[in-house]
Formats: sequence, structure tokens, C-alpha cells
Amino acid sequence: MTEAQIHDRGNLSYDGPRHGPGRAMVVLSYHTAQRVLGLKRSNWQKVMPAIALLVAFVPAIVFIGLAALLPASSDLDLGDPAGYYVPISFVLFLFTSFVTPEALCTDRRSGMLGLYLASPLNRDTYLASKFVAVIAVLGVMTIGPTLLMLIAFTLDGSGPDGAIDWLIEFGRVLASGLAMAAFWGSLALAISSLSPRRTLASVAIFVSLLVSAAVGDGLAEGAEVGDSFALLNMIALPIETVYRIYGEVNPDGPPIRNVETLPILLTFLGLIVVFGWFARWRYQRIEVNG
Amino acid sequence: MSTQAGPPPMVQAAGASKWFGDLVAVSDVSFSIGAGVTALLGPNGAGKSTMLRMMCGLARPSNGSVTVLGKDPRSDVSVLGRIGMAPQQESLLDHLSGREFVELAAQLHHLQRPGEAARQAIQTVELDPDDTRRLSTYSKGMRQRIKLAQAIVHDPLVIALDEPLTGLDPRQRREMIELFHRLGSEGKCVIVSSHVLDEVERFGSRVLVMAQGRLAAEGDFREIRNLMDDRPLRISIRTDRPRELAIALLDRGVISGCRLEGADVVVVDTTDPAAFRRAVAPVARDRNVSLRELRPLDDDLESVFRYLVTQ
Repeated sequence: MTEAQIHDRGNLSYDGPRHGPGRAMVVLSYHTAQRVLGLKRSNWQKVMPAIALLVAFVPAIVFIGLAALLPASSDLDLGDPAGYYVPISFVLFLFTSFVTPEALCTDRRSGMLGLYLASPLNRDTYLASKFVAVIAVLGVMTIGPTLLMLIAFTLDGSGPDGAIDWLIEFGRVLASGLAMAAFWGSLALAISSLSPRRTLASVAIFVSLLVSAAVGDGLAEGAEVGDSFALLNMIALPIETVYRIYGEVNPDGPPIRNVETLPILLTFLGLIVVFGWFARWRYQRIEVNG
Repeated sequence: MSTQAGPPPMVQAAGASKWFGDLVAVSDVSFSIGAGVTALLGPNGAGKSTMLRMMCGLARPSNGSVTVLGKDPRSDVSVLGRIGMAPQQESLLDHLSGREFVELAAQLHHLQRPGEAARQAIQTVELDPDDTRRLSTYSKGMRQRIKLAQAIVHDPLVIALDEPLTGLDPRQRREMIELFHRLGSEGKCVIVSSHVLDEVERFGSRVLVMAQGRLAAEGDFREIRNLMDDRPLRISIRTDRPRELAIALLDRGVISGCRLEGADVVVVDTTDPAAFRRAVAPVARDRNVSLRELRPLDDDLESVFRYLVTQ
């Protein structure tokens, strides 16, 4: 006689502990950041994020290397921290256009939006999680290199004098990086909310940025209707904002350099709010298929 | 099923309607369902998926209300943790493995041990929790089961499954239906949508039939099936002598009307398809008529539902 037995396993249900609310947001942010960076995806999808990170970090790493290797007495010109955001903006421009739509568009196309919204996430917390993920990824590029620069300055002995000045400089690095990440991130989410197609969103972001630069500078400098119109240049606006955070004016910048600091900061913050509000407005109305 | 005494309904629709611009997807639907398996039956485009989306808080009713466990799933996030949903869509997160996908669902539902929960759910749907292949490599049947696993991983009270049997082989279907019944017998409300009439017969006795966005029928499946069997059926018969065959079938009393179409086709109406099926071959043999083709003209689900709507 055989000793084999068949047991009815039944339905194995989870009865273990559960996290509090908010966990779903953390999970979604983490998962989205992974996806935007191309992690756990094909090599081809890692190329653009890898190039962006490389371009953003390499100059800072070179500065750190020089600061560490050269004698302290050598006259190492570490440049101007605000100026570092000009090449970073180029990276952000490409990254925001071609990678960040992945954060929103794919969920709508694949049906995952339905699964997310059938979990304890609502549309607001879903969008907030996406926003945090995008800011975190962009923040690596906007805060990381300048933080390394600050370390390089400090190591070289040409950094801020004393703890207070160092903390002020550190605050500027954080504020500038977060401001840039928030601007580009909110812009990307607002435009991505218009379409489930990633390519379409990429083209829309790319074109709208170029058009805004052409229109803003064209009106301010070409048509000479007033410097305030240079605020329409959404590529120059975040760079100039960072210069103003550092208490400077971009010496080689487009016409926006002629605008007062207050209108620049108000326009900058206003646009972040408008982009965020638009994305939310869109997502409250999107019909979920899935 | 509607407004009955006993435990409060787990899912309730009260005059729920949903329209998209000019398109009315769901129109004035009311029902109450409790624990057990309930089939949501209807042809493609009947409004089943929209109804399920309203139950899961993914769509807001344009009019009326849909409540789950007494709460509005669109505005009350707490109730969403008690709902499990398997959508019809296939693509999902193709770059993840099945285990990672189910773990993600577990994490979204705040489970502290998502790995353990995912393993249990995957075993429940009879897949291998140690399979590291990506979802993009899964067969249709495996995708259906992994979607079910993510829907049940957090032990929800209400489980909404959109066409979960599509793509499964007969054995997998049988096992899946057994699982639905197990879940139902544990006090969960399992709502399964399908457009395959025969499939629904095995789900259980409770059925909601939707057609053209309306609730066409609800109640015991056998009663609805009988109602469907009573409907007149139109059949096209290709034969060498259509006139003689039509007269003979009328004489036998198994058809209620007929119409000749061309030289070799007669279209007949019958209210007793079973009697017609029994009689047609002997009648043809007795009259020495050769039968070349018998083709039901309105045996598709669309016509069944149209009939129900007019009842």
C-alpha cells in the first residue's frame, strides 16, 4: 500500500502584519524611480539614464580628483557653483524629455494604473508618489554633482569659511538642486499627463521647451517688447533662478538675466504650482481602462 | 438577490450609470451581492468592465452609486485595501518576474511580509513561486493566474475578476473555478465577468446579466438559462428540396414559421429547439430529402442578450 497522500492545501491567505498607510506611496515611488533609471530593464533602456548621470557627475568627479591629488598650495580654479547648472540643465532637458514620461505614460498604457488605483492609493497619492520619484531621480543629477563640488571646494581649502558659511552654501546646493528637480519634474508630469504614449509626451516636452525658449527670447530680445517676456523661456528660467539663489546673475545668459529677482522667483514657483495643478486636474478626469 | 433580508450586501449598485460623452456604458443598474461567487455575464461591450471598474473605485458613476462594504470605493481609500482586482489587460509590468509582480501588489497593500504573501498567492494559483522568468515570457494562461495571484495576495474581501478564464485550457478553467468557489465559501465576494455563456454555468447559481449597458437579468442561473431556452430560434437549412422539408416540419409542428431563400435554403423559426433537433433528421429521411447544412442564425450571445432585454 502506498503511503502517498493528497492534502487539500486550500486557499493560503496572508494573515501577517501590515504596514500603516503611506507604505504604498513609498513602494510606488521606489518602483517608479527604478523604472525611470532603467533598472531591471533591458540594457537599451539604461543607456539614456546612464549617459545623463555620467554627464552630470564626471566634471564634479574630475574636480574632486584634482582637489585630492594636487597640493593644497596649487591654485585650483574650481569655477562657479551656479555656473555648473548650465551643463546640468542640458542633461535635464534631454532626460526630462526622453526618460521621465516613463514615470506616468507606461502605467496608463499597460493597465498598471488600474491596479495601482485599486490599491490603497488614490489619484492624488499616486501622482504625489510619481512626483517624489521623478524629483528623487532628477535630484541625484542636480544635487549630487554640486554637493561633490562643495566637498571639492572644502577639500581644496577654497570652500566656505567657517561652519555657518559652509551650511549656507550647503543650503544653496540643496535649494538649487531641489528647485531645478521640482521644476523639470512638474513640467514633465504635466505634459506626460496629456497622453498615455511615451513618445508623444517626449516630443511634446522637447518641443514645448524649445518653443518657449524661442518665443521668450524672441519677444524680449528680437521684438524688444520687454525683458519680462524672457520669463517665458522655460530652459533659461530654472538656470537663472539658481543664479539668483546664489545671489548672482548669469553673466552670459539669455535676456532673462535683465529681469529682477522677485519676478523670476514668482514665475518659477508659479509655474511649478501650475504644472502640478494641471497634472492633478488631468488625473482626476482620466478614465482608467484596466 | 436584490433587496433581501440577511447580512448587508458586500457590493451594491443603486441606479448606477456611467457615460463617456455620448456613449452610455452602464445605464441605471441596481443590484446587491454578498459572499460567494457571482458571475457578471454579458457580450463584449455590454458594460461589464465598466461596472467592475466602478466597483473598484477606478471610475466614478455618472449617476447613482456603487458601494463596496458600505463605502464609496472612489472616495474611501480604506475600502480599497479590501478589494482585489484582476484586470482584463495583459501587458502590465512585463519586465518583472511573476513573483516580483505579486510582491509589488503585496507591498502596495501594506503587507509587512510581501515575499511570504506572494509565495502563498502564487502557490494558490498553482504557479511556481521560484520561477524567475519575466512576465513577458509567460503564456496567456500563466498571465491570467498571476493576475489572480496579485488580486488575492492581500486577502481581500471583495475580488473582482475581469474575464479571468480567457486563455486557460479546460483543466486550468476547472481548477480556477474551484478556486473561485473556495474563496466564495470562505465568505469572500467573488465577482467574475465573462462573455462565455457555458463558462458561467459552472461558476454557480448567481448571475448578473448585462446587455447594452443595462442589467438584463439577475438571479439563479438555471432560471435564466430556462428563460433563454424559451426564446424562438431561427435556423437556416440548406437542402435539395427546401419547400417539401418546410411543409413536413410545419406538419410535425416543430417550427412556427418559414421562409424560402433561393433554390436550396429555407429559414425556419422554432420555439422548441430541442424538439426541432429531434425531428429534423427523421422528417428529412422519411421524405427522402437530403440535409446539407443546418446553421443557427441567432445562437450567438448577442442575440441571447437581446432576447433577455426584450423580456
